[in-house]
Amino acid sequence: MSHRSARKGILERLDDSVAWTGIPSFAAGHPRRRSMRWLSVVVLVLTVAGFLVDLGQPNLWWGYAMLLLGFGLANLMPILGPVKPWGGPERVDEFDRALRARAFLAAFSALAAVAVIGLWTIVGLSLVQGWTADALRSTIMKLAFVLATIYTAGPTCYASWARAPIDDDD
Amino acid sequence: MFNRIALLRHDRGLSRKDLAEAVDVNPQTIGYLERGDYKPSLELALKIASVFGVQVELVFSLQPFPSITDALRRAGEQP
Repeated sequence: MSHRSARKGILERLDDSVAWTGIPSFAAGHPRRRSMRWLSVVVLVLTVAGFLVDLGQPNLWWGYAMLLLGFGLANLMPILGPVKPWGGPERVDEFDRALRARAFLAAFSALAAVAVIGLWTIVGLSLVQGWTADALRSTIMKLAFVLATIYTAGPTCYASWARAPIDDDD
Repeated sequence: MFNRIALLRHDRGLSRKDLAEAVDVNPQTIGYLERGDYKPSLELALKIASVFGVQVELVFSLQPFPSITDALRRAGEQP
């Protein structure tokens, strides 16, 4: 077989590109779950850093942009990450249940810590700097985005680092 | 916890997928078991032993299993 004949046509390449997105397997009820070690770390750092930038310099637009970008990316993690959700069509065995329990325990611990620290920081800053009610509402809403990001990306981060990926079969 | 799942699986000519389907788990879970990254429940351990048709302590052990080479050497030394 010549090298030229082994090349894929444009339609086959398009098929491959669609399969690579994971959407067809997701639609079939068998999502191709991936370890997301660094992406989950980047998302969490991006979100927290964006919140802190926005807290220090509310006039800088990119702090809020970082926060929203991290939040948006985090929403993909329960769909494509290694933690299988409750009530989905996938087979969830005892390994998946144990990993999910530990991942959510770790994420909820981090979420509780960030919530307590964040709320007291906001209360303190609002008193010291004399924030308006609008500024207070806006900052609390941004903290809610951070907490939602930890809820979605936190379990993925834990599960991705807790177990090295393994091939489907030997 | 140590196990001989990979050895027994190869001996029986089973793939991870075959064993996983027999005990109703995902193939990756068999991989994690073989790699020693996951300790199975008693129910899963009994199911795996049942698939291989052996007692559970021949598949799982708290002590490392002797290597096949040592076992064969010892068997050869016996009169």
